[in-house]
Amino acid sequence: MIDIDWRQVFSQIALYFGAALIALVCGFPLLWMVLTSVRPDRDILTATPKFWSFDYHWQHYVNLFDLTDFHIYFVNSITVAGSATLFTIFVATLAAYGITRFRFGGRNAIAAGMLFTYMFAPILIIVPFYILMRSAGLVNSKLGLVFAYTTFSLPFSMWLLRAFFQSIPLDLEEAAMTDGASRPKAVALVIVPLALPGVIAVSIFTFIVAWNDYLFARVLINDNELKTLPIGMDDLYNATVTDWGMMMAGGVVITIPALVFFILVQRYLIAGWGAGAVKG
Amino acid sequence: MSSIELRNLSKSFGDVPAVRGIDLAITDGEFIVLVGPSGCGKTTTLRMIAGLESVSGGAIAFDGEEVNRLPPKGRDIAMVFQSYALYPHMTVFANMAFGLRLSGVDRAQIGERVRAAAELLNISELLRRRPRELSGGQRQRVAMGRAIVRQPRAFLFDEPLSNLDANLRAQMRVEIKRLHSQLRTTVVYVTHDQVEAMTLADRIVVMRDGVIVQSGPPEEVYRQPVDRFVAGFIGAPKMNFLPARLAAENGALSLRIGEGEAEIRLPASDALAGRLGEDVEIGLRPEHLSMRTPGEDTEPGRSFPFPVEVVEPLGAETLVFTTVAGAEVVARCDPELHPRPGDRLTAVVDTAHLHLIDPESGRVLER
Repeated sequence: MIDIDWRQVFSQIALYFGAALIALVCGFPLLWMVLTSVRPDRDILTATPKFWSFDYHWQHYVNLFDLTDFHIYFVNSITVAGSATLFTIFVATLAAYGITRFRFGGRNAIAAGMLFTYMFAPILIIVPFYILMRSAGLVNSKLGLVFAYTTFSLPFSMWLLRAFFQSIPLDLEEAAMTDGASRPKAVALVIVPLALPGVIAVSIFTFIVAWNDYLFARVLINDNELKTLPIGMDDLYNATVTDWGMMMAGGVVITIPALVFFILVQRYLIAGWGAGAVKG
Repeated sequence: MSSIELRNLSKSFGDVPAVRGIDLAITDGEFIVLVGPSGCGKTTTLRMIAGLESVSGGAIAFDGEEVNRLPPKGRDIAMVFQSYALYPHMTVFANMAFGLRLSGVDRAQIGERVRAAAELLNISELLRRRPRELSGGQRQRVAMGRAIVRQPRAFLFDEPLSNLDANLRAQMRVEIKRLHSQLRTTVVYVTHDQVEAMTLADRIVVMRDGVIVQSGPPEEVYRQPVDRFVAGFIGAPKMNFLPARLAAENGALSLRIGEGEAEIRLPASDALAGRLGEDVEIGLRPEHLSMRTPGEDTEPGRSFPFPVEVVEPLGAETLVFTTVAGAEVVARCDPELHPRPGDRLTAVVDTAHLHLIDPESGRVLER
């Protein structure tokens, strides 16, 4: 006869029930967005909303791409977020490496001070930032936005990568150097692959920051051709008549790249790469 | 292969000197072991040879050419680290091939050389595994394989066996020795284990506080230590040290141990004539004391009573311990004697191998 520990069974059931509840609460708006995006207009604005309706169509998506500049915003967002991510990884990797591997005055102060930059809400620094960008001639340009997102995500990225680099034994790098690698090669071939989970985490963080940003883009960008998705969508919302079906279709399309990106990289986030490197 | 020369080499970390002007000429194909206690500067010296540590003063030369400013990459040396330092994201094959790939060796030759080295080290079946799937001993072999495939001008070993258990350590010691006799590449090997130093080295270099105290073949360092530190550091069990006073007696020399607990006579010596009446320290290796049971010949003037306090049977030999003049004394003894604590044995001293040490300077005195 199998001895069943009922207390454990119940605690498991309670745990999964709780998790399902949280998932439902978080997931419901997303589900509603998807459903609305494929619903005819007459079913969207109705006194008695129906959860399921069997009259689905793709017209909102067609309208989104045919009647608006959504595709321009989409390409802009991808370009800006992608560039900001690559640039941040490059700069944060070099900075974190420098701070962990070289000894120089103020090293610890820099490391400790990195996160202080987040004490200021973005809205506080947006005006000085605008003035700075204007004097650099970067207002109303994608490059200006890339710099904006990089400055915002860099401190956290450096701080995170620093912790990863600190956990990689110095011996590995020295082994690569005695094996005939120059320092940049040792970093590229040994250190960065081992810090990959950190690099991935940094890239997710930066991509999401850049992809979701409304504030910097609103202040720095005027031309319609340079708008990113959040401000482009906002302008669609503020147009004379709000087409809710199309708005929701836009919402779905905005969510997809972030989702795909996350699914692609999340398996690299799994820790444990470092096991077996040194004694143990 | 290559000769390595250290000329007045020194290194400081801030105000703290780690290596203070050492001179050492390592000939082509020689197996040098740098040995000493923690903090003696041996690892720093090795790291300077590797190019991982900058040089504060003096010079390092490979084949007569100064390499002080050359990065590790340009020195063509291979290093085996204490932690093995295998690249965890690469297979064993890729680990071993890493250096060859960097130097642009073609794929076919890389495969050939890696497989040859793997065969030499008995790790052929591990080539597809990753470091985390290997045992400590296997990792150690891979680390050595990674060094061997490069066919460098010198191998540098930084305490490579200290993370292995005793059995494996003994086995790897033999393998390293065998490898060296096959490859005949210059080796600089750092350890704090005097057994490794004795068994592996063509020449032992004993270091202390950043300087070389003595350098020579293992036999010589063991038999003719220059001072109390080397005498005590090399050899296991350690050399015995006994306080004594030097006196003249009937044209011979006499050593009174402690408060006259025992007396040992030595032939007269001009070198020691000036030290009569002074305190000295006797240094005696455990194998230079032979045990006699009561009733056996005891040779007066060459022996002292040895009341056994502790017995350590090791199989092939038995160690017996006692206290003489406040100092612990250990002797090797024939296990057939079956000594037991409380036995009143007599220790006969092999005076030919007795060292006299100046208690102030610690130098071994000429006899």
